[in-house]
Amino acid sequence: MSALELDDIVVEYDRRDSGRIRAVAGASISVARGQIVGLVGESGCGKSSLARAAVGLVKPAGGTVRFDGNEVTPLRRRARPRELVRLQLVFQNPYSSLNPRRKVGSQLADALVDAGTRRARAARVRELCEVVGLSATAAERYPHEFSGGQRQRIAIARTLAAEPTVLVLDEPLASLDASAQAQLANLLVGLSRELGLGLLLISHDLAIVRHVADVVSVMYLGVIVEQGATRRLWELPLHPYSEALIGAVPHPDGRGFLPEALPGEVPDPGRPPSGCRFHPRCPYAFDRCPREEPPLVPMADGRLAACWLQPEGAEPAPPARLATARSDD
Amino acid sequence: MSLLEVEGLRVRLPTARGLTTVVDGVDYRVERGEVFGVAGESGSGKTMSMLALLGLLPEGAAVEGSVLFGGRDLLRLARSRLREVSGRDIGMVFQDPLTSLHPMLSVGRQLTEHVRLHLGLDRRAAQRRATELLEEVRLPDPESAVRAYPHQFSGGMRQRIAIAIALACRPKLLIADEPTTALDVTVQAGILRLLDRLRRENDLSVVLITHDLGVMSSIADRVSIFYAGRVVESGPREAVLRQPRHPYTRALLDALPHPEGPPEQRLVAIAGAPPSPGSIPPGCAFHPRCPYAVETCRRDVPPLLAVNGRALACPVDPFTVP
Repeated sequence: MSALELDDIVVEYDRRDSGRIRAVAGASISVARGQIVGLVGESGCGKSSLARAAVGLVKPAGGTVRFDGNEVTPLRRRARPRELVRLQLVFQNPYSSLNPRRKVGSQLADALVDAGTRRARAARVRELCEVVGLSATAAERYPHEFSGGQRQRIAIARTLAAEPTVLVLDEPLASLDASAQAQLANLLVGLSRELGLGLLLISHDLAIVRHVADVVSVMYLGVIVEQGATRRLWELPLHPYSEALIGAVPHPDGRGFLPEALPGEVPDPGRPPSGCRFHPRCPYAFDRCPREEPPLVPMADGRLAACWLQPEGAEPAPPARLATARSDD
Repeated sequence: MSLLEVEGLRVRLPTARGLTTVVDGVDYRVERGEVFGVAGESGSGKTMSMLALLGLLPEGAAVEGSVLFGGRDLLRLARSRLREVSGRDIGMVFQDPLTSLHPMLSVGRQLTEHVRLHLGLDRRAAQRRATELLEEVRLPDPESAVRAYPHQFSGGMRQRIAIAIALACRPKLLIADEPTTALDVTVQAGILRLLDRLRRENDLSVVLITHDLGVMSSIADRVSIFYAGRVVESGPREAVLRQPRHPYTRALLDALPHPEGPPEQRLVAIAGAPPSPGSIPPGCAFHPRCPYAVETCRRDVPPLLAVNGRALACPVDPFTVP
């Protein structure tokens, strides 16, 4: 059974001038223990809103979030029930999520679930530092004494203090140098495998998600357009948007590959296009696309795709080939 | 003759503990119509070495060396002359167009101010030029864009506007400092294609400063890898990125996910962290993190030497191609 289940989540915000906008328009994702789920998409596609809904930082306007069978309710003034503490969030910016005026050790100790003796707490704090690859003496220092990558590891250590079973990570690798990014990516994979943690990893960097995630969900303008095993999705993207995202990733191999640009921009979520939300930017769009919204349906290999080119239950095929076959008919 | 020839560039910045060296003897040249890529981690001196050319360093900075641009040494020009030359012949684009564009001035005003000052165009001619520039960077609907303000555009469109402003006086050299770092990959690809087209169509030289070897690999012709204020390896893009010879270049590439490599391949992080200016290790600055370091690396600064069409600053050279 999945540890974290988001079912048909809708997140809406009030906008001063133009009423309500729908940042997430019905998205479902589940994360099992020991599984790493990647969530990718351009900025403004609603992935951070979905993450916030997953941990109860925003109240969904529709749908349910369940964690180990309990409904996740929005955070209020009262402390979280103990069962929900095992679901933790790591923010993008460790510069603002750590308190600059308190030592790392005391910030980690705050998050420990079992009080225990002072000595036991100190020992646990040192252990947490080591789990994330910092020296045990890190506890005695302040956040500013660490680099960005190390600070992100401190932030992860703090969530581990709560003995979580699922972590939601919102762009944890952005703004880090390549080497620090590699260290952190390896740490996340290690934590998931060794502690059996489920991870929901939100990132705009597909190349890194490919290395880390077992399954990937691709999000566009508030909806999931494709979901499936990372390897298969990368080899043969079914949705034209997934294909465009993968084609835009530069290759650091010196061969001079010029990435493909996706024309146009992410539309205003307050006024999403009719039918398939991607149709104005899709190179394969045909007459049905602006009229009807394609549902997310299972393909023969178990993946999910929401594209009129991919009929339910069919063998997966590249969108370009299906588009050509269609126009030849 | 190269468009830009930099020799022995050394930059020291004032800090609480006196002058700190941030660029320590850097040589490079940029040819006409080429994209020259400068890569390195944050704090490696890549941005400072460019700001030095334009006289944009903070107050009290000390600069040595020579910077020949079109035959003149920029470091020896009077401030007013430098502004004239750099304002017209060198354009600059920064990472975050939100901070480099003026929020209260219309796009048209920001485009025309520049061309009227440096090219002496009248108001009407300047306005025509503004629309032309926005067309050139493929901004949709340039006629109405000139009347709009920066906040009305998305990040990618703002970067296109910043590039249009940098191109306003038809510069010979464009310095682009992390121009795509704040953008989505899909938008980044568009900016890279734009720079590539401008270089081909306008014979523009581009210095592309980036921490992202993928970005550099897409459009750079020649590249330099910076570490702790020095160049450790430079040469043609394909040679340096496909067969890196310096242990640092190799380590940077191993840390990156390669879109075409096997996904189960583990990313290899570089041990330790880059040194901060003011506490650069003696000898080769990379030696504390280098698995191949020998005694001489700890003692002597390795010179950047020419080997088979590239330049390399590593006495060990563990990846020699036979």
